[in-house]
Amino acid sequence: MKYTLAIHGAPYASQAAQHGIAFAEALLRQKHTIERIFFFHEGVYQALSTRVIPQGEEELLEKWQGLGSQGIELAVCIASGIKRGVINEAERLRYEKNASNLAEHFTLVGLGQLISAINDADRYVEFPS
Amino acid sequence: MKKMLFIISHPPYANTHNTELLEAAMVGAVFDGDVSLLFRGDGVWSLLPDQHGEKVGYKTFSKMLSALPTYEVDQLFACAGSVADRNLSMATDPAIEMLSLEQQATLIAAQDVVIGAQG
Amino acid sequence: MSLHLVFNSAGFNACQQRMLSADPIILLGDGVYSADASSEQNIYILALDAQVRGVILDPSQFNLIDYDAFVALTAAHLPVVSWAE
Repeated sequence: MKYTLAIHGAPYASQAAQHGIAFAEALLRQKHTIERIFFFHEGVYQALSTRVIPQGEEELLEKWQGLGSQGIELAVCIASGIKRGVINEAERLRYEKNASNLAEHFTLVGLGQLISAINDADRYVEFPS
Repeated sequence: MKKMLFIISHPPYANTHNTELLEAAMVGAVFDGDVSLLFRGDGVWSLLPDQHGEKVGYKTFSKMLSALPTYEVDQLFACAGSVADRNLSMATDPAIEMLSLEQQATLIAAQDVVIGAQG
Repeated sequence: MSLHLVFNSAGFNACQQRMLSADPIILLGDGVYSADASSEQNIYILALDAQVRGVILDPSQFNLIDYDAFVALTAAHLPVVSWAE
């Protein structure tokens, strides 16, 4: 079965990352496919490359990127993302900012990519803020 | 074509979730989705007329809401109990249909996708 | 048939008011605090999230599940509705 997941919660303000990552890994174990993981609202902060994880805490960014390196699309809502300061190199140049911070394996995409992923999937599962 | 229900359960200016959900609903309709919206709980405060979000630098939710019919998002519902509990005088445009809890359960059960949970 | 994912107690109330009576529920995150052995509803609890919080639930009285069972429930139901407040 084909799934689209949505992550609405930020790191440290929700359990959305822990839930989303463990759910995605279980999907793959069971040979389901993941059409796209869409990061919306404060979920966009999951994609910050500049996070420094305190010792002894789980490296959730690496786990997201592990899913990304398996070919799973980690899609950050561009409208939610750039206004919260989550930008890639193209947006850095466009808006003349001094640094970009979108972590490797994440992409910035429009809301249409959420809707098309929903249309192309059998299931939509959302992890709230 | 998927049946998509957006549920708005929080007031409009504590954060920008409601406007972001409305933007997603509009895109859903542009992509030919069968889109409906349900306002419930404190989300019904979004239905007050005469909002001025621009005074704090936010988009004005009530203005976005009145634009929904031009995006062919015209299935707008509110929880009748949530509206009554708050003694709320709602905007009359766009038209919003009041639903009982039972009708909301039926609406939700008929969807492919439900969007909008927030803690 | 819908599956309801409940993430906290206020979400649990909102869900119970708007679900069909036979729909299954999964309690996860802070939703696990709403686990009640006397409930006659079709309720599953993500065991890991109960354990994280020190919520001890007798497996003979509660439907404790892992992520694999969580996935299986989502595959068997439509829509999957998340509830948090």
